[in-house]
Amino acid sequence: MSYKMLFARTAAAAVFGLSMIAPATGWAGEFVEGTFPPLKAGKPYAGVTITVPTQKGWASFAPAVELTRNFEEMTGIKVQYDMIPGSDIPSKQLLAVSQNSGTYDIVTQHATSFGSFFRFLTPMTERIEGVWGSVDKFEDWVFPAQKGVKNTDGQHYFMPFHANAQIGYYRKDLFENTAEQAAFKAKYGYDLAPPTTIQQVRDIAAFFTRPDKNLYGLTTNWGGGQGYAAFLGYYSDAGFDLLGADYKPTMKTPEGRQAAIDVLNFMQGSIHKDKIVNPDSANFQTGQVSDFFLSGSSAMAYGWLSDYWSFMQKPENIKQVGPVGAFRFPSFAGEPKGGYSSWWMMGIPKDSKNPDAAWEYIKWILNEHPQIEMAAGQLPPIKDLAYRTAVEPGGINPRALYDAFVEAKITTQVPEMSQQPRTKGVELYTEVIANKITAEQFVDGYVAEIEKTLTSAGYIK
Amino acid sequence: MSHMVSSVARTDRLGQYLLGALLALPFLYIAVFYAYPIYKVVSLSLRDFQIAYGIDDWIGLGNYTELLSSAETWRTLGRTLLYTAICVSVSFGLGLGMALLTVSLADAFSERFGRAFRHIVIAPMIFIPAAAGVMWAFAYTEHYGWVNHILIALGLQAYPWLVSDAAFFLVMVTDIWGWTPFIYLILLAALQSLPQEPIEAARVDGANAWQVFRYVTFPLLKPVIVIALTIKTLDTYRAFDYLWIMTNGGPGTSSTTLNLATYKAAFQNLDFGKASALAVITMIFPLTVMILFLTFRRRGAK
Repeated sequence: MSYKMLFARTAAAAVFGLSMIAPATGWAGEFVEGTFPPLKAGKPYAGVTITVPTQKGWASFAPAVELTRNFEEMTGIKVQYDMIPGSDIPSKQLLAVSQNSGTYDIVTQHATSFGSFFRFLTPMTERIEGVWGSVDKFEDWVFPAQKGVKNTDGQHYFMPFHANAQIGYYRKDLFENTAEQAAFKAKYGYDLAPPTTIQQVRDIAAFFTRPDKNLYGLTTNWGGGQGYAAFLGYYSDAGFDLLGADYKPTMKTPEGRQAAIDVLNFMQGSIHKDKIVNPDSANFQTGQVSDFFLSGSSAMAYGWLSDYWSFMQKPENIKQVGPVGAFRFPSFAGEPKGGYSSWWMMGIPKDSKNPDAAWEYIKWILNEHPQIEMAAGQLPPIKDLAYRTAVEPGGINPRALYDAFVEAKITTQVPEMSQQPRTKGVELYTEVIANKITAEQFVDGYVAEIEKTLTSAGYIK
Repeated sequence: MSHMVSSVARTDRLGQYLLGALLALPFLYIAVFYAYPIYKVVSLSLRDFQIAYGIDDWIGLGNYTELLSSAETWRTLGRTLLYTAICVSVSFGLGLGMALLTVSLADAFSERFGRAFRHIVIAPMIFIPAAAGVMWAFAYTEHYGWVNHILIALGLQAYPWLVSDAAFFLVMVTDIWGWTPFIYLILLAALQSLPQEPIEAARVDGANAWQVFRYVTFPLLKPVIVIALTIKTLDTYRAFDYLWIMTNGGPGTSSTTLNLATYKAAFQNLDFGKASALAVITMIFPLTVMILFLTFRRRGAK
């Protein structure tokens, strides 16, 4: 082989090799190496400051805030967070974007309140196609819940960054204690293990409820809005969407009504009649459930405790309870049908002063590094990544969380459901849990409010 | 000479403009910070205004008709008035009693003793309402709260107070705890600055302690009492923090006052038209109190 020939072949091989490597290394310098979704290289938005609203005191998001300096170094974009109390998250941002104030470059919303924002946001279709090639490929990359938050025009206006589901937790020291196991079997006739039916939840909770030892069977986040969400979760897991295809409440059907009544009777009865749930649960939010459970006062817990999962794995935090296990909470319909999913998303408002820099931030938050860091208190919304964190050996999340989330649903099917019906639903629910009204009265009042609101909004003809 | 005259005239004119501008400032202030917001609220209350859906239609008195024909609105108004009446009267009674006690303690023992008592009584004032609300909400929990710990120590059962019918009244206890020091301080200052001659004269005439209070001290305190009660009434009527933090207005709507109902309509239901109508309805009571106060003061002056 002549020297010229060797040189030509080497050059050709080099060109071919580079063309293969280029996409992975950032399209020959167009993107920051090793990022996906890829961030633009060359810091084209350096010096820009974007304002990102987020929930105050949110354990799951704290790692992202910590890592923001990496994003700032990579892109030159400065991020300013506006930490908003949870209850003001929808209203504060809605007021800002509806007034064209330009306050925020990103809107951060939960799947219960996103619908009110569509008219103030820019569609993501072009941006999604620019990264994933097509909307279908993007939808395949994340959990199916994302399809439930599309606008009626079929476009995505939000990108997900957080997924979560409510599951059960139990104390292994109690469940694996041979004396407890023997006593339980003698009393109920089956083995003590994480419950797979609601009746088993009742049995196990009753078995461990020992007031003289300051121990309850179950502690949960059944207070106010979170309790209402727990109710919706159980109802959804029993196989019911909140609204039918005709936008009428499914609780109006005999089956839906009975399922809702069963769920509410369980919640109310567990506190007031059977006394297997600590009474404070009627006022508890997730953080209090975690405190109560880890103080050794309950055998099982239910709620958004995945926020604290990594915290619960550290020996210094579980001195009172020992190792903690997780289980998928049983359904009221036997086989779980998929409960209520927590799905947090970010969108770019029309009045954003820096929409392209905001898009860089949204892409960054979906990158593996921040997602893995945040996974200590949530499930990544990206399917493969979530599988790695919860199902593969050594994953940092419980398998039950993954299983519960895969089937979980978005319950707000029209934007109006997150306003009057939700306010009324929470009010009625708090009366049920305080034992002031019956489950039947809840269903009647709630159905009437949904019908009134959706009729006035034109959904129900 | 003529130059001097014109110069003086110019200075006069400038002074008049300046005076005019200065006089206009309060009107400007009232226009910007009072008249315009009130106008805006009233005009919004006559519209179906829902930000999220771009709805902004003139509906006249539609919001008012709907609200006033709802039994819930009347229940909320009744609850608000009950909350105000109980909190104001108990805070006033306790504040006055403790102010009298402070003066008596200082007279009977020493000034230092009276001062120590005063420090104890005003301690709740150092808590910001949000922190106090959290603290009291915690106190009523079944598992951690000291209230239930006392009940258990007495052999009684613990009780989830804030998810019961008692919740509304327990928020009142917190309000009274937080606000009594304010009434106390105003009345104590007034008591300590009262002229001593009429009181001593009454004593010399043989009046007992009750008669001195009833016929001398109380009438002398009356103008201050009216001011204290007016401030406290208006403030309690628009109470929000303790109620929101301790109960969120629940269970159900059992501790929802007009202020909370307005907040829910605006920021949970995003129905700013109805929220504005509620705000206007809410304003009627303070206006009535202010008119009564001014009438009382005018009569007092005569």
